Amino acid sequence: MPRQTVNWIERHSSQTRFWHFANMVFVFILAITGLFLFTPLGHYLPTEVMLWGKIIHRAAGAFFIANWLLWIIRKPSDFAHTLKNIFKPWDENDKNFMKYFFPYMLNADKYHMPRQTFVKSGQRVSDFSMYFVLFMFAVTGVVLWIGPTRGIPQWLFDFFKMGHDICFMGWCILMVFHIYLGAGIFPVYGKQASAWMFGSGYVSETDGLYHWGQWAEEELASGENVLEVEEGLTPSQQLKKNEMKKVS
Amino acid sequence: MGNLYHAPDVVNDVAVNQDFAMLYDSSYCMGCKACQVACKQTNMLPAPMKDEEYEFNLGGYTYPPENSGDNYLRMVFTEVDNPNGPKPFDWIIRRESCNHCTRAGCVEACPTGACHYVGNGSVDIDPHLCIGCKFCSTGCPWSVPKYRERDNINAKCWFCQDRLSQDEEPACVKTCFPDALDWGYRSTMLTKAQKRVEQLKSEGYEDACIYGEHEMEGLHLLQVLKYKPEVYGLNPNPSIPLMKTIGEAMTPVALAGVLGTLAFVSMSYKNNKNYKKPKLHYDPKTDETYTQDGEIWFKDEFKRKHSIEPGDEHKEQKLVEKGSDQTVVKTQDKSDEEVK
Repeated sequence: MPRQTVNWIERHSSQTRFWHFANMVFVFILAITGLFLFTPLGHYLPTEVMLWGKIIHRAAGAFFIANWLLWIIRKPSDFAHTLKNIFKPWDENDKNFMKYFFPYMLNADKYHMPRQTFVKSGQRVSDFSMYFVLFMFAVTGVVLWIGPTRGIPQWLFDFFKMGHDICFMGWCILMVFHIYLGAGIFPVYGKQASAWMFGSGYVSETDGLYHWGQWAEEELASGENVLEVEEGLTPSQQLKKNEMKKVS
Repeated sequence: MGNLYHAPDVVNDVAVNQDFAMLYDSSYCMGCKACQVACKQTNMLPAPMKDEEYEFNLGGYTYPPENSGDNYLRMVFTEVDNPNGPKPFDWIIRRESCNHCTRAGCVEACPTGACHYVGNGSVDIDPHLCIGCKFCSTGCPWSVPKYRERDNINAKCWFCQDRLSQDEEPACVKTCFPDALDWGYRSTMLTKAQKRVEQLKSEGYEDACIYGEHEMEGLHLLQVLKYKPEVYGLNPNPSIPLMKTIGEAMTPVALAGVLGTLAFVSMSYKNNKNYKKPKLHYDPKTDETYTQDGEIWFKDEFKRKHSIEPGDEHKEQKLVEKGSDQTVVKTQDKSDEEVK
């Protein structure tokens, strides 16, 4: 019997997606302005642009930190849950996933990755690295902003300047992976991967089972965050349709 | 208002392309601080006028406690017991201002090109280009450039380029009446310093030396010292700060890292371009995931390849109990055989 509906599972709430989007905007601004502020590329720009670049860089940094603080203050349980996920002990599946992830990236046909929970072990490594680098960015950035004239010793300023540089270098590498995998440039993940964070936030049954087998099975079994989408419709269209039905 | 007029374009052709230097002879200096006053006056740098603004430096004659964006020059006084010289005690003085390096860390660190070599041996910060990022002080071995909040720029001694352009010597040199300061071609100043050092040695100052002859590939502030530089609190081997060097050394490493990562993901993209992901669905009745062909989507392939599927003991047990899935058990047997 052909199925009339397809199951989609809610992966990221609208709040999470908005938070991620805000982070992306701030980080993009910080990266572009920082690239000119911290490298000789700035020599090629007019001073006014550099001056505004510095102001915008600091403002974006402040908004970026505020975005995180707001999240932590408003949803401390979410933050605690995220940290718990990151520092969760690794079982054999997690270890094997990480062990075979890079060979899998090079040839997905040859590898069949172990089932994963809501956050894959590889994601946990990536999340931890990103959170750590972002935290260091924030701390070193604030010190650079305050500067050596306002009570910060020169040696600390120098040290944090170096730290800020190193963070940027690490960030670039992390971002290449994050964009390649997260935006679905990696053919195995496919374009739909970007919709998980930038679109409806729903993941199809197929994708959910493929990527986070254990999580998806649990979700599908409970049916709590599952949306039945008529074939030919997207989850967003289905949600709208359901809303219309409710209204009528 | 801050002094913002010292743009490099006021330097005339006479001063440019000639390697000038300032000579400070600490053995002649009597610590009158007239040079400090002249510097303040010429550069129109404000001094604290109210008690609450005044920063006391108790226990010493040195003032201010540190140079700042409004103070390019200060004389540092130190009392020394038993220096290696003819006196059992000495009150030594050194000049603290920009050393105008031949290889200037501030120029290398500046992201906007505001810090620049003027061309006559001096190093200047163009206030019109400076964005007040303070990175120049990170690049300087002595952290000389200081942030000036009211203009949002970093500032330091600039060897009075405006005076040089009028064929005048820097203000501090002009005002120094014991002739401890002198200005001229660097080669001339160096010869003069060498002669003075010889003279001091003959007077019993065995460690007399020139500070700045070779440091940072040659400074344009040459100091005649009666004792070793360390006695004056000067670093005998100044260099671009290690932290800046590490930061710079990381650049090619990071670039290689990014390029390597890009190469890796490119290879990954190329190899997986034609990957066909199976269509999967979950059946809550059997608590199992199936492919579109109706086969159980289990981690058989992974298990066969690596002889591991941790956590599945529980699942296999569950399936055997259900008596619903021979395929899984068979596959397990097969994998065991293959492993053997």
